[in-house]
Amino acid sequence: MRDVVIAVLLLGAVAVELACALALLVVKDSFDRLHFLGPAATLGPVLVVTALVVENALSTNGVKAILAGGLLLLTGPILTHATARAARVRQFGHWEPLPFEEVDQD
Amino acid sequence: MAERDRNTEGESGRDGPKARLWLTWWIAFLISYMLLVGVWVAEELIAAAIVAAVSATVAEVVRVQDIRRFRPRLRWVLRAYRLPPSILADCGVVFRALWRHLVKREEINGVFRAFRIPIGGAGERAAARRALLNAAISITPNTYVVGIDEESEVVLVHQLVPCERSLAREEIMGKL
Amino acid sequence: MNVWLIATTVLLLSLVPCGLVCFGADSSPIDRLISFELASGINTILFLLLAQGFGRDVYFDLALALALLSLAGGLVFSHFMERWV
Repeated sequence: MRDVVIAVLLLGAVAVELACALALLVVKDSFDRLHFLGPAATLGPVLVVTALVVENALSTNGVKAILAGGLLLLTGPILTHATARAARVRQFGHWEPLPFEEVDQD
Repeated sequence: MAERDRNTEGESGRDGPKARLWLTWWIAFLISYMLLVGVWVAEELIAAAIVAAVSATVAEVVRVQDIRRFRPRLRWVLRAYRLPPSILADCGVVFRALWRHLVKREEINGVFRAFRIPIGGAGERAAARRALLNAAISITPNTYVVGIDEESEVVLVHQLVPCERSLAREEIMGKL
Repeated sequence: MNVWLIATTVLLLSLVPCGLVCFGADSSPIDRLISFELASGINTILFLLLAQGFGRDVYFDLALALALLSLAGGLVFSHFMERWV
């Protein structure tokens, strides 16, 4: 039963990461591509770390896996934001919103 | 003389909290070291104590530089329990968009949205609030923050699968 | 061969699109950065899987170090890409 749970979790994690990598190829716009860093840094690591904790419980290896997964989870949004900001500044010279982007202008 | 006495009292008054902070760092680093090593023997405990002391000193030196203060309220951090369902839901949204793009050849057209929320201010609480808001929005795959202007209180985000324009603020902020 | 190594082998395939975008002639610097960041995250997961698959505890430390360094590297690149690269 435990092996089945681990296999299902790993299958899910691999599928998520493969889908995110595939999205890099098929999605053309840089800002759209950035969204696929999200599942790769959240859902994928959580599934892998869960599988590792099922296998190792809270041994040293289990704790290290939780720390590594936690780091990926916390640093993912930071990297996404920093990259998006850099991309926007490269494109427009600044990141500030353009007039037609403000939803309060309606 | 009275002013010199008051200054001396002020300095010794600040030593207490500094020592407590140093000790807190020391305990945190000691526990982290022992968790990573995983071997609870005397030699490792001594090494952990020394390494934790050096790390705590460095952490305090950095903290007193006062480069950018960050002081969140606990209730803001506790609201993180709302994020896992949003993250899961947004994973479904982006993968569904990818699937439709691959199978049905539907174009993916992400958009930028900018809206105002009251997040201005120069203090450490305001800075913490903006940082946590940024992290909470950007961790959900369908939306990420491009920038937050503290003066005009405008947040610029990018959505892969955009919601109704007039509902953007409620949809994004309502998850938090 | 165990389920961890099978997962590692399949997951290695996800580095191919990252490499194609990173080294592709048509890719912009930002696209290369995005593929680099994705590859860093995938490599961290690969180290975790390899650590369990081979039973080598030291690879867990590698995964931890890579997770930290990926953040630092990504931030440095994105900072310089705003204006200077």
